Amino acid sequence: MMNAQQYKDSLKSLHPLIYCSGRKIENVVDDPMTAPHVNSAALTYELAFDPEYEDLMTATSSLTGKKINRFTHIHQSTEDLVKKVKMMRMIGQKTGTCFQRCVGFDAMNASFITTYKIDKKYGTNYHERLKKYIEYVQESDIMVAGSMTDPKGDRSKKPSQQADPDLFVHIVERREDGIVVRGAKAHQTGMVNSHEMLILPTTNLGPDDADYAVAAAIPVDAPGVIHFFGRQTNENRRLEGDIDCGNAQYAIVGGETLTVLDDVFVPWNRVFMCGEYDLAQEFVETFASYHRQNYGGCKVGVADVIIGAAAAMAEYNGCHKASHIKDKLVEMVHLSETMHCCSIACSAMGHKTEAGSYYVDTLLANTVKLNCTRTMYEISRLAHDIAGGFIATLPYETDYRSDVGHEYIDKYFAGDARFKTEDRIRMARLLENMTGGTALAESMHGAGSPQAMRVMIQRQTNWEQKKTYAKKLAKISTED
Amino acid sequence: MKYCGGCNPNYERSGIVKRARSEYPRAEFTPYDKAGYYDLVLVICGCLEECFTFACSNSRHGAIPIRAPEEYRRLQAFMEAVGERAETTN
Ligand SMILES: Cc1cc2nc3c(=O)[nH]c(=O)nc-3n(C[C@H](O)[C@H](O)[C@H](O)COP(=O)(O)OP(=O)(O)OC[C@H]3O[C@@H](n4cnc5c(N)ncnc54)[C@H](O)[C@@H]3O)c2cc1C
Repeated sequence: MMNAQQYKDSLKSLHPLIYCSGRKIENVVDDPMTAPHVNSAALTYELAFDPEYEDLMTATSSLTGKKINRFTHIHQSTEDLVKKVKMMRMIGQKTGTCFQRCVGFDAMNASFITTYKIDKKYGTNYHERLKKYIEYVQESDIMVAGSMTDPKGDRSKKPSQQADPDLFVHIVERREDGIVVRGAKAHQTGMVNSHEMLILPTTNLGPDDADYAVAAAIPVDAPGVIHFFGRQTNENRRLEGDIDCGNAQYAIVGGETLTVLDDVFVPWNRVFMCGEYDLAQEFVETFASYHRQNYGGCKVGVADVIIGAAAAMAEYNGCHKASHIKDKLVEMVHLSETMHCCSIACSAMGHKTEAGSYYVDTLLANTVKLNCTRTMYEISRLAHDIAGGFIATLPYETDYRSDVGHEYIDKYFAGDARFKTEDRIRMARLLENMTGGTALAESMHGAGSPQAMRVMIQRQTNWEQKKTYAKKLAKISTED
Repeated sequence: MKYCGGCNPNYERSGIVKRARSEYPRAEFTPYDKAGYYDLVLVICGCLEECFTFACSNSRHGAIPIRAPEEYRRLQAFMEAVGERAETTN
């Protein structure tokens, strides 16, 4: 396993092509725009060496029998699935933001199940290849970005019907030694501080879309890979100081990119699907369900921080004893623990797959994420209510630090005199940054938009059985 | 000391160890290692669930779970039984 320092050093030896606001980022570890996201991912390495957390952070490899970082593990039991959720909550409590490594984790577990099914149907050899790749990931402890989402163009059309064929990643050449792919992956969490990406198809495909049925592992600095670092709400505050960032150490969300694959060569030993379009849906659903499981883990850890910040703000404001404030804080906990319940439940109700690994209960996993698309907004709304309007109107940190501004700002932003004004300002900035803009959109669209979950819930529900229960009690004959 | 995973502990687990170290300076408290051999394994859990499975055969006196600050008395009882007196009490 790598520790945090080894992880950071390993990133310095890569040479990804990253553009950010018109310039190239040469060193993601030290560049102020990417450094907080590196710090956040680095915690997944650091905690694996901490005796206080190693029980959640590490696992025993099913492939080698060695101790590995859990983020590279293939789930071997429902206990593993539960531990994944608990681990994510725990890390979220420490970072207050996305730590990025779950996407590749889920992509590997989804690939483990799907490649087995492809091989069974087509007699291919993807599963063995994938196992070798996962063994390499476990041994080297590299970070793998999970790359499913294509830009998608006109959402009503299939990939082969798009005006521009590159709006979904596709195979442009099949060679003796491998394939060449073209297209792009959008919203790529943790991509700039990963070592490799595991690309998967993003939608169900038909016979005309066979070239779009591709899954493969690609180094982030492979020739033809170009990353455009995403702009976030308030991101330039990182260049100005630390108070206004709110969470200067780890920032918000996962430092997403648009990652272009401009005729990228992939050798066969890193190709895990190539043309089997009828199993693309399987890939999408399996990845999505694993990924939706997470939202009652990491988001609950983040919510723990938001709730703590709101409770502290109530004290700074001198109204923590007011009954409506207490009620709102309780409501926040209720919402957040409900998400956690769903994630624990979909894990505990998981099952063994044909491939031998464990998979979540998909109906319950989709319920988690659908809840999250509403719950995190409501938790944030309540936090805004409790904190007060100054989270939106506070002066600049530079003015607070200036000779002329400090005295006035310190005097007029004071709350309960027992607390320092600077603490009140710091907490307000933390809340502002964790509960607005980019941070919220992640709860909505990360792991799929709400309708995607509703479609899965619609499909997974046994409607006939429910009608039968009702008819029986209503004494309506169910025999035709 | 063998810690649970620490997903959402109800108290600062390391506080147990800090207290034990200060009360029993003659005892040596080290992180648990499967390959090691110990007089006692303190299993420090953050809540009452005891969610993780832990079987230990490499300890002379087995394992004592501590799942809340109040359960620190289990360590005190053990220490008393083996004739080790606390230097300070909190
Ligand atoms: C912060 C963040 C991090 C992310 N990280 C990753 C990552 O690491 N890896 C990754 O692969 N992806 C990632 N994603 C992508 C995420 O999975 C997508 O945002 C999500 O699937 C929605 O796709 P979209 O953004 O293209 O929205 P759209 O698909 O454009 O959805 C917009 C709206 O249109 C509706 N819609 C879309 N298509 C149709 C249709 N055919 N018919 C009717 N209605 C439709 C949707 O339901 C929604 O209401 C991330 C997203 C965010 C916001």
